[in-house]
Amino acid sequence: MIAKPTTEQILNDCSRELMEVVLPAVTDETVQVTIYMMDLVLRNAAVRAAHEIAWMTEETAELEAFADSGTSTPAAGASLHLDDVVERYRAASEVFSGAMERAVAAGDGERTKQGTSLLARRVGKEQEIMCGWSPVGR
Amino acid sequence: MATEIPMPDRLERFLADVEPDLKATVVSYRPISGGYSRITAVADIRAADGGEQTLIVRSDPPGGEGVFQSERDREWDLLQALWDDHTIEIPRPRWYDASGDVLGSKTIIMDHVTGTPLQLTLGPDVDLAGARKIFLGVADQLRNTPLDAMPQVMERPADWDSYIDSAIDIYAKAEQELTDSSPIIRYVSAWLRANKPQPVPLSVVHGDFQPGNILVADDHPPVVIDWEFTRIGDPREDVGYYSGSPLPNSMYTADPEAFLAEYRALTGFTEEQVNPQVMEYFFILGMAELYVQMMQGADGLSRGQGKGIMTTFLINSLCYFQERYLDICSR
Repeated sequence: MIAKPTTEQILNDCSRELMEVVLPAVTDETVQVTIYMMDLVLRNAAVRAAHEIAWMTEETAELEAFADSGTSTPAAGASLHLDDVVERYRAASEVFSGAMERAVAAGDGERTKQGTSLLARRVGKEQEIMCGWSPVGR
Repeated sequence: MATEIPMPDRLERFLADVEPDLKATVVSYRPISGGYSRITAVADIRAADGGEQTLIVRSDPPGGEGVFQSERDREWDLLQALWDDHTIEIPRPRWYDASGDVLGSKTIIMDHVTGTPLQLTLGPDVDLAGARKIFLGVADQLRNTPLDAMPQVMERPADWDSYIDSAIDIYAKAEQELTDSSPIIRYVSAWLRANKPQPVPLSVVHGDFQPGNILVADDHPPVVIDWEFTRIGDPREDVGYYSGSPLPNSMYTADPEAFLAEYRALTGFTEEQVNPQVMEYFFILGMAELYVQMMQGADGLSRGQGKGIMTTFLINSLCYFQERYLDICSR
């Protein structure tokens, strides 16, 4: 495959074209709003494309370690196809969620704090994907 | 290929059916942009006697395409009950195309009310006390709306505890049905169960209680619009929902203590029942329905059931609220 430009660069270039070429040619206000949304979604996707496999793989190991689930981080050579990474991430999230629910129900503040620090890192990645978007304007 | 009948023509035909004596013609028809849920338009009509009238036409998106789903039949029953009760001012509900046969989808038609959304009166240099008084006054009217005047289709919770459990379950059940797993929503649900505040009597909850949905003018009392998410619940859901709102020039954020003191004075609630921590609790709980619908929209896309760019765009909103929720629950 042609690796360069990367997917991130391709999507960001589509975003630029949309805002610099398409948007100025559109007069319908509702379509303009749609274009602004599409621009943000393209930029969201660009950040995800650049990092999501690495981010999910790293976090999967942390979630499983917290849950002490007995499952292990995928061995070297495990599939890096996105659907497979997403499924491992989902499974790890599920066992982590159960462990966190038990910690909250038991009033285990220390363990809950450890778990929320992992969730805070997840939220930090989500903030990067948001590309500075703010909900003001609703 | 069938030619799409323009909406003004459909409206004229509908009015001829439901109000034949009016002999109305539609003079103008203007869609209003900005709503996330329903399709709304302003229509000017002229009757045979020369009388003119402005109407609001509020429709379901055709084919159920909207991100947010709510029941138009239920909303119509509610609007009629609220209009008959008079505790709170609403635009007069006029007619309803319950089948959508004429107007293309289920459509409520109501009187247009002149006025400015309260949100637009809030500015960085404006004294917010006057607006706060209006806002909390409306919150208190909602709380005082008699429950027995509400339509029978509205669910009556057995008691406060079971209601709160059912509200938390909105998050929990929706998460269970996802193709993905959401540890943040699982944690938030567990936190909500472990940190219930003191109860207060249940009342009418607007469900999207923000100053954009209150129209103010010099010649009439505040008029409340957008009743699609209304339910019987905890009245603090409405003020809590607003307390965490990202809308600019927040009347709550500007002076939380004054806001809460005024709310307590109006309602008679105690400091244990109404304080900043309780507001944060009800911010999360009051957001449940809207958050879950955004989450389900994103999940639908992952199942190949996308509903347009809005669904994808709102993933950003989910991320925003997840950060807020985690911040609250971690403290």
